[in-house]
Amino acid sequence: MCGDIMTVTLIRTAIMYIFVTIGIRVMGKRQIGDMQPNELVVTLLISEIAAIPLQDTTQPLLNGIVAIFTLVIIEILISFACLKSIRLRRLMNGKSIVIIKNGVVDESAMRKVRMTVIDLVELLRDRDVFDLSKVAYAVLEVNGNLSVLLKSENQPLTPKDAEITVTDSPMHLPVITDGKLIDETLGELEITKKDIDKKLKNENCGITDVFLMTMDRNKNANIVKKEEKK
Amino acid sequence: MSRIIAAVALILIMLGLCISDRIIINNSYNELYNMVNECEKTVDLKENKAKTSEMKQTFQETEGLLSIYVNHDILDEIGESVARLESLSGLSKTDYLSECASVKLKLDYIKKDSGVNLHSVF
Repeated sequence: MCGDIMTVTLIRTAIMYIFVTIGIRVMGKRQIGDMQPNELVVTLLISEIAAIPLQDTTQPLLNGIVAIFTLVIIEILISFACLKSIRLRRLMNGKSIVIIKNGVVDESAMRKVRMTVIDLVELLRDRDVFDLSKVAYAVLEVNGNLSVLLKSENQPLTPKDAEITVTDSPMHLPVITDGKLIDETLGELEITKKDIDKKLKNENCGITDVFLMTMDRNKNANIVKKEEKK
Repeated sequence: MSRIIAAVALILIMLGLCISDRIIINNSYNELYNMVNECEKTVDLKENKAKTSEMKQTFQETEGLLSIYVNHDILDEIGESVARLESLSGLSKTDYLSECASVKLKLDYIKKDSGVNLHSVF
């Protein structure tokens, strides 16, 4: 009898895991820190709802699944509506607020978002800014992050500032991971398997010997081989 | 766009589940309620026992499907009441009728709780 209860819990947990994963995937990818308030609410609610039928096996599993998918549907429809309507987006997500403008801290803006000076200093330190006088603009985003624009004289030097001509560095993408070839990347980089084989031949190894291989459009490659088994 | 399509697909699935929920619970309720009524009205002892057993069997057959939509505790309570009915049939009529009323009340509870009303929503 106890074994049956455990088995039921195991099966319900597996089923709920599948449906929660489907729900989260359908909602789209966002990291916790980048979520809008409504997305965070939905994510927290989903986790709470998913736990109920797992803890209480007398609750129908379908109740939890329907609740989760209803939240997912509402979230998708609201995000779609927010894409189309700026007003709705402002209502749901709020708007960014300029905290520092032209090097001057806007105290009324800080009071509006209930931010203390200590909060501001901490957020600036998080952006590697330890001196307030170096900041030209600081914008508090709706997800709580602080975007910082330093004053021109404090910004890192760029090749353009130094009037140095540099060539664009193409993007490296992984073409082999853990001994397996990633076919989609070949198309994006406009390279062929022959190009990869040629590079691997130079290193005296095959695809299955490679832990990570990245390449760019110019066929420059970085290869990390797998550790040899002792 | 694919997310909107996924949302619409999910809406249709949810609607389907809500409709099936209504249909299954209503059908089961009507069937069992009518059977309990028949058991109450039956005077002949033998016939009463047979109808009670038939009702118990029907409940056991529908219990699995109902458990997908209904809280299992209430289904267990109905199962207990139906089992008591079977043991009471042919004995004290008062106790039997009282148990029948209990079964009907619990069935009403399921129907009320699974319907869209102030009681179930709030």
